[in-house]
Amino acid sequence: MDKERATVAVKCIPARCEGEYVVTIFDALNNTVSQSGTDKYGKASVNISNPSGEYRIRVRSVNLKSPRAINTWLSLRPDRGYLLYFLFGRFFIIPPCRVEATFRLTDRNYDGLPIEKGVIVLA
Amino acid sequence: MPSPYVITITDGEGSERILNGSYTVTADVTGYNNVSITPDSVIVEPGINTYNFTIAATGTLTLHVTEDGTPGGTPVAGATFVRCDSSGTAYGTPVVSDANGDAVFPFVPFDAVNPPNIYYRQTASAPDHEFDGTLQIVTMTTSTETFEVENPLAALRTVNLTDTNYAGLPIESGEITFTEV
Repeated sequence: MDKERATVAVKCIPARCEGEYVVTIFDALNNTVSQSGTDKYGKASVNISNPSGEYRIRVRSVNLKSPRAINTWLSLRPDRGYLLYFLFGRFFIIPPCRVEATFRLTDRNYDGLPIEKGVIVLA
Repeated sequence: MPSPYVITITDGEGSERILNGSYTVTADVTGYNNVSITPDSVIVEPGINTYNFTIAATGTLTLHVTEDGTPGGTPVAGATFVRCDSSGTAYGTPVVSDANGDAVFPFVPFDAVNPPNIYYRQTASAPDHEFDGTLQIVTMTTSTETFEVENPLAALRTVNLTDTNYAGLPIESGEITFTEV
């Protein structure tokens, strides 16, 4: 191993196809140091030259898994290798935040009698 | 579209794309007591796409049933009416005319300027009385109104029964039954 580099290996679970996750590494100043996609096994490996201080490793799923992204923080040293596992929920669909809703308005004293014309306001 | 959401109701229903969240609910329905809308708050959440509300009115509709359809006519007791929607589908408990000929629908809408339609249908009358069973529409501009309804006595009709093989020979005694089809 290059003494001036740290190696960060990432394994994402579950993995079904190449590029299913994007691994981004930020330095302490939030600058992007590296960005790559995982292989079909959910793996990615990144070399960080002259590591110094704390780094943030963000893994984001490109399809609808839960959570959409996981962050972890590591203090990298030049002579070390790091192996990180990231676990995502399988096939979890994040529900839409806006729903197509139907509102029914009937007469309270005549069960089921629809109100012919009117307005409901939700505030 | 951000809150507030204004949902137009037509024939009892309206749809809108709504952000999940908690909302207070108000109504603007001409002829009804708008503060009576129930519930007055709602939580819109994933997986629930239909929300039901009710609203009440405070008017009183009296159908005064007589044999000639006038205020001073002979009252008809036992005439039955039911509230309907615009397509004629019946809702609620039927009302029946009393000895004075009055059948009373409580809690009906009214408005001085734009009174909403009130639909009803007669489904029965007293024995030997005729009635119009088609969908009726009235409006009320005041909280209490009376409408005259005519249920005339059925006309007296003569039925002759003779022998098929002896032209004109009357059958001395017997019965004929008419069943409505």
